Formats: sequence, structure tokens, C-alpha cells
Amino acid sequence: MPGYPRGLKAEKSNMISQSEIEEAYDHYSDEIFTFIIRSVHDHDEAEDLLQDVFVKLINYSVKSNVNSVNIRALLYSIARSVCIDTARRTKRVSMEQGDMLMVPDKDPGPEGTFNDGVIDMVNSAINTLGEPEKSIILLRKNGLTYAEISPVLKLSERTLKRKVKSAIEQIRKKLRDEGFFIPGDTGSSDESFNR
Amino acid sequence: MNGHLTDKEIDNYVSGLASGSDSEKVRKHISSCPQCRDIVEALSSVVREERIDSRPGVHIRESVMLQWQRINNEVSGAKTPVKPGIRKSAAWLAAAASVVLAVSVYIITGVIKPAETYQLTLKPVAGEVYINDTPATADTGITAESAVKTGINGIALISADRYTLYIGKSSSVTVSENSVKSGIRFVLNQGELISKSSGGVKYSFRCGDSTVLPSGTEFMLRYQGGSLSVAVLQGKVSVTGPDTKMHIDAGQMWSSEKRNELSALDPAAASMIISGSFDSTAPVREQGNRESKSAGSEVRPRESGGSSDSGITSDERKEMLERARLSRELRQDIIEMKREQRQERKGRNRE
Repeated sequence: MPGYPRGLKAEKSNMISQSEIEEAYDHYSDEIFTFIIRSVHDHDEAEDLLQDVFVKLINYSVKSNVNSVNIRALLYSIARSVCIDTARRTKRVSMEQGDMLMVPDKDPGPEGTFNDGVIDMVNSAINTLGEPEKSIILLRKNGLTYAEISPVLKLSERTLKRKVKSAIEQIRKKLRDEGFFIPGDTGSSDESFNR
Repeated sequence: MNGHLTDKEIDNYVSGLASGSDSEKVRKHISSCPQCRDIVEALSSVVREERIDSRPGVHIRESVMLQWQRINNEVSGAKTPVKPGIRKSAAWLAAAASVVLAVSVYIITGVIKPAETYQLTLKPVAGEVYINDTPATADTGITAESAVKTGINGIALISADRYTLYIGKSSSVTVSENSVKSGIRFVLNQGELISKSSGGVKYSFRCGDSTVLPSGTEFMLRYQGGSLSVAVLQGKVSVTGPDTKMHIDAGQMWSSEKRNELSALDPAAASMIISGSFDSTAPVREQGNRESKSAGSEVRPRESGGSSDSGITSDERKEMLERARLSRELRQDIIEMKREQRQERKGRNRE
């Protein structure tokens, strides 16, 4: 994050004003909240994390410049790191307790619901992706364009697209492993084609 | 059409890396090939916007604004030149904090009220209850400057519209102010209280040199021998004193004896607040004592007893997170308990 010159900090605090934080909350809390909920899948926990995000933003504003141009990207950046921290912790706790989070076995169902089954599979495959691929995809799902994601993750649009491509490749591999028919995929020649 | 799209073509198309003409080719192909369309559809769903109709509760906004005030107080406090006289600056900080908090509460809840003062009534429940040193009768009206005292076995209620204050035994409470404009100000001179509000009434507490400012909450206060304890079941409570500034969330307890620490709400205290009775014997204090007995100055969550590597900040951080998780779980338990109680009450009312 671009820091404020140290000398300025003592003289003048740039802290976000009450009206600014209210405005920011009213503007962005809903979309940040949906972004968090995509990651933690729990309403109460997402509310706690949402509060954390805004408190972190306030603290950040004490030392660094927060303005209407960078505030949305900042909120997303903070939300992302908060979610990653939480996911790491949850994983650790569940591993300590020996009950790994179970990914429900999705039944692809009868032929008629091919896409429903695939989409369920795709969604559970997203959860297994690494960073930053997972964040990019969750941000895309939250309605952000590549241009909007770029300042959040500090990656160029081209890099973002390449990362998405590698994520898509991974998801396709997962689908293939699950036995889904993928046209044009030479690797699946041993799979059944008689759909 | 002969052949299907290749992996590469699909990936480039879905990720947006494909050139205009390549994208056009894919679009053309999938318009006539249902198999490729299925897979392009499925993979495109990965990066497509997906609406979620979930919204955060309004209380989160309030909490964020409270936190803003807290940080603002800290920042404006830090900006004043710090001289050796720490006590002085701390007192200034506290004064500024209470002014800012009072003003903000005034702003938040300062809606037009029909009456000038809140209608307060005192109901003696058990034992000796005195108002201004005379025995209280049922449903005595309370004005500002009224002092309520309870004996060794005394229990009393002060109630207003959508607000109830339970007064425990051997307690002394003064109503120092009662106006709709600036709220009710209770002074807890000694003893214990359970405060339950369902909104609409503005109120605050003074205990010694600390101010307790709740926002739409159910909580318990205990002030004995100069030591103040707060246990919060619902909502949020801020305690401001000469060298204290704490925000106690639902599911947390705090004691002035360990003024910089929060602990998880004791189930006994929780059930006392829910039932509005002071049956259990001093659970807030018990909790405090247990903490002070534990080795070292740091309070550790009950589960992680073994670890001894203190002083590492990341460890402390993990611990804090762990504690937060525990208190979250407890809060959920409490919510569940309250729901059951509500249903029970409903059932009783019907009878």
C-alpha cells in the first residue's frame, strides 16, 4: 500500500471523517458483504468480518490517504486479506479437530441436468483454487470488471486474465477427473462419449 | 460442424484473453454445437456475476460508527503534546471521549420525542426497597434525583416504556437526570444491575468515575468496592473512565480489575441477564478472580492451556482470533437460548 510520507503523519492526521465513513459504508457495505459471504459462507461471521474491514479502513486512513478514488479498491483489498486470514484459521482449526470441512458430493444427476451438475462441480472446484486465482474469481462473481480488480490485487489486467485462464484449466481438469464429458478434450478419450 | 473447440480456444475465450476474431469463432461454433456450448457455459459461470441477496444487519453500521469514534478519540488524543503527566492527558482523553460519545448518541438517537421526561416507575419485587430513604410502595413514580436503595434481600425494578432496569440486593441507584432530550442518567453507587432495553429510551450509567454507555443492549453491571464489572449479552456497551476506554461486545465480559482485557461471557452471567434475576452468586467476579489466578499476566483461552511461548505477537494475534471465535460461538448459543425462552414465554402468555 502506498504509505504517507512519515513526516506528514505527525503534523496532520488524514483520518477519514465521520460523514465520509458513513457515506463509504452506505455505498459499499452491501457489495463488500456479498464478497465476504462468498468466501466464508456464514452470515454472522460475514457480518463480523465486514465490521473488521471497515475498522481496518478507518485505521488505515489514520496513516495513509483514503479518498473517493481508492476507497473501493482498498475495501476489497482489506476484505480479501481478512477472508484469507479467516479461511486459513478455519482450516487449521478443523484440521486440529480432525473433521475436515466436507465438500458435499455433488451428483451430476440425470443427463437432462448436465449443466446444473457441472455448475455445482465448478463452484466446489473454485473453493479448492489457490490465491490469487480464487480471489479474482470471487471478485468477478461479485460483479467487478478486470479493470476494477486490477487495483485491488495490484496485477495488470493481462495478468488477471492469464490467472483466470490457469484457474479455468484447473477446473476443467477437476471436471474431467469427475468424469464429465468435455468435447474436444483428447485426454478424455477413455471416458464415455455416449451421452 | 466438424470437430469441437479445443481446450485452449475455450480457455482463452472464457478468460477474456482471446482476440476479437477468436471470440467470434467460438461464439459461432457454440451457436450450433450444444456440447461445446454446455462446457463454455459451465466454465463461463466461473467468472460471471452472481447476485447474492444477503445484507448485513443495521447493527453493524452502528458498531462501525462507534469504532470510528473510538479511533477518532485515540487519534485526537495522540495529537496533543504528550508530557510526563500521563494522568492529566488520560483524564483529558476520557473527558473528550465522553463528550464525543454523548454528542454522538445525541445525534444518533436525537429524534423528536413527544414527552419531556421518561415515565419511570419503581416496582419493589422482594425484600426491603427504599426510595429517598422511605419504604417504596408498588408502582412509585420516579423523578430525577430519586435515590433507590435495596436491602440485603431486596430486589426492585425500574421500568419505562420498552426499558427495564433490574436492581439487585444491597444496591444503591440514583436517577441523576431524566429528560427525553439528554436521556436518563443512572448513577450506580453500589451493587448490581441488569439493564434491558428494546430501543427507544436513551440512557447511560455512571459508576464512580466511569461512564457506561450502551447502545440497544441487554447487559449487567456490578459495582462493588470501587470495582466495576460489565457483562454484555446483546448489543454493545462502552465504558469510559479516566484511564479506561473499552468497548464490550455481546458475549463478552469486562472488569475494571483487568481493565485492558475482555473475556468471554460466563454462561451463569448470561442466564442471569436473560432471566433478569440475581440468583447466581457473583459470576462476574468469579470470572475475574479465575483470570487473575491464572499464571502470568496474560489471559489464555481455556482450550489452549499448554502453550508457553508468550511474547510473540503473532501468537497473541492467533489467540485473540481464537478468543473471538469462542465468543462468537457463545453468542450463538445465547441467541439460541433466548429464542427458546421467547417461545416459552409466548406459550405461557397464550395460556
